[in-house]
Amino acid sequence: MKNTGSRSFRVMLMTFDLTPLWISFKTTLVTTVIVFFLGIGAARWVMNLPQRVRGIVDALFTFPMIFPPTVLGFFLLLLLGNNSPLGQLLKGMGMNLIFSWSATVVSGTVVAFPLMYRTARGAFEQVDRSVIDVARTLGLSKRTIFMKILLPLSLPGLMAGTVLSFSRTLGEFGATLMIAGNIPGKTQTLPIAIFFAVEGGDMRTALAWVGLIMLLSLLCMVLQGLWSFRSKATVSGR
Amino acid sequence: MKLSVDIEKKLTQFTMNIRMEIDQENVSILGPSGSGKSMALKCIAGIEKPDRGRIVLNDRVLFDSERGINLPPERRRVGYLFQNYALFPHMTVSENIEIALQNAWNRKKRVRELIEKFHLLGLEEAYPVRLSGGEQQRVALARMMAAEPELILLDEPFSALDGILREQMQQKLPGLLHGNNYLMVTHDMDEAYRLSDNILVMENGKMLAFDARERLFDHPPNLAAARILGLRNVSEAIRVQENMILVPQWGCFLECGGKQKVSHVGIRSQHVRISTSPGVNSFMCEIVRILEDRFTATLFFRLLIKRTRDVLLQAIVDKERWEYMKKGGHSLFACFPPDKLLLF
Repeated sequence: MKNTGSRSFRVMLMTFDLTPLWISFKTTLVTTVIVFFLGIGAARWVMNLPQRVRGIVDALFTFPMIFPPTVLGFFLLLLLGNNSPLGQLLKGMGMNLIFSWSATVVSGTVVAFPLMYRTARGAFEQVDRSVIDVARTLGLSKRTIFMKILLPLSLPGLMAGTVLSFSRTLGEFGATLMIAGNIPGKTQTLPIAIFFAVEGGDMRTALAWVGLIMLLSLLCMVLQGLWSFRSKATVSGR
Repeated sequence: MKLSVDIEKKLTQFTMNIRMEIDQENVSILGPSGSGKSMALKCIAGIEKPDRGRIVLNDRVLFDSERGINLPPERRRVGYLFQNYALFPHMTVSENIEIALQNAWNRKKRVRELIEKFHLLGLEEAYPVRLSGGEQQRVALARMMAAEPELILLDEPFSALDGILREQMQQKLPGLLHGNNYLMVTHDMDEAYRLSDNILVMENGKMLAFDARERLFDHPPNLAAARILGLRNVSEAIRVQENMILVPQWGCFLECGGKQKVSHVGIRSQHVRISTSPGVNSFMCEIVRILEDRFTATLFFRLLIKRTRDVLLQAIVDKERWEYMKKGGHSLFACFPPDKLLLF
């Protein structure tokens, strides 16, 4: 009895399709890197805009956060689908975005971008104005101020934003399903695999994936906690 | 250092308006909190933009609204010492100074020189949070000098220091700045007097006076400036004779020459003499309240005259003298020396 149990477990491990984990890992990593730079760049750009335009751009960048993911997915489908001008253009260049792996990155980026953008902006705005002003009177270039003063001083906030984006992308379901679909081994990410496992009555697989995702999220939180602890210690000089 | 400023900026409460010429002098802008002094400095540094006007530093136009010139702060070569020093918290003392150095050569040597000059030896690797207020200020000054500014602006430089440290820094500052001229903002008239040649008095964004410090304290040009410069005893006055004015609020006539068209008279608390014998312009008085300091006492008194309204005047007297007079139990006289009366 015991023997057959462990054997069936071994069989399950051997036959278990690990591709959703790999796809999710790739998607989340690539998306987080893209969103990290995009969010920081956007935050810096918006901060230097004239007051009147700033509100409008800020609202535009925040929209994806308040829309339901399926609605976002729908718009992305309209925007990038084969019948749209953009889709036609991509097709002409020999690329088909919809239902490809890249689509998981596109949906992840759109969904996680506002999180990174907002936290980055918050982190930048939290930096003492007079520190930035004094840097300017010292003759430092805008680039030096950004790289050597603004970025390091807002690092804890930026890291928080990165972790948020990472977790959000890892859990992304709605928009991804709309534009990337559920193609096993190609666009089937972890959350999508869980949904279809449950739908197919395969509770064991679903449970395995759920456990894994929880573990990953927990790890993220611990890393984030350690990081903010360490950076606080450096700035306060202890 | 030559600076010419003529700017205007609309703020929420009032419009700031400043016009001054500085030529090789140390200047203070003196005014109560919220009078727009710091805003004036920020406009000169380029951190804030005036609505109108012109700023010229050593023949370099920093700002000219008509010609559309507005140099960014990083190109003005104007050093600014912030009230809270605004050190870079994630950098050590050395790094704070080094980042401000202008050219790439000899950086280590320049940093070491500045560290020595500003008495920061041993603190090179410390982060700003670990430093005392005085040390932080010296780092901020060293960092400012590292950028080789043509003009130095100090925003309430001593307000974050206390007691002995404040006095020490007030003494050392001119030396630390290498004899470079500075423009300072303060709300403390003694500090302004100690540390500057010329003083600009400001209130609600308006310039009330701008003159050499002695002339300004001895002959303030108007009542508002005189009040900011520490004048406490003020009343309306009417010229009744060539050599006599009537002071209705104090209920007395005062012998006093000088200006014929008079609307107000005032006298500094330090110039009112309290004594036990009468003299010119002296009246019997009654002490109502006393504010004692270590070596002086401020006496709040009322003149014993029938027509007087309920006005309290103040006199600052030497404490030993006051103790002596108090013991005698004589009647007291307040004397307003004619040459010390300020007429407006």
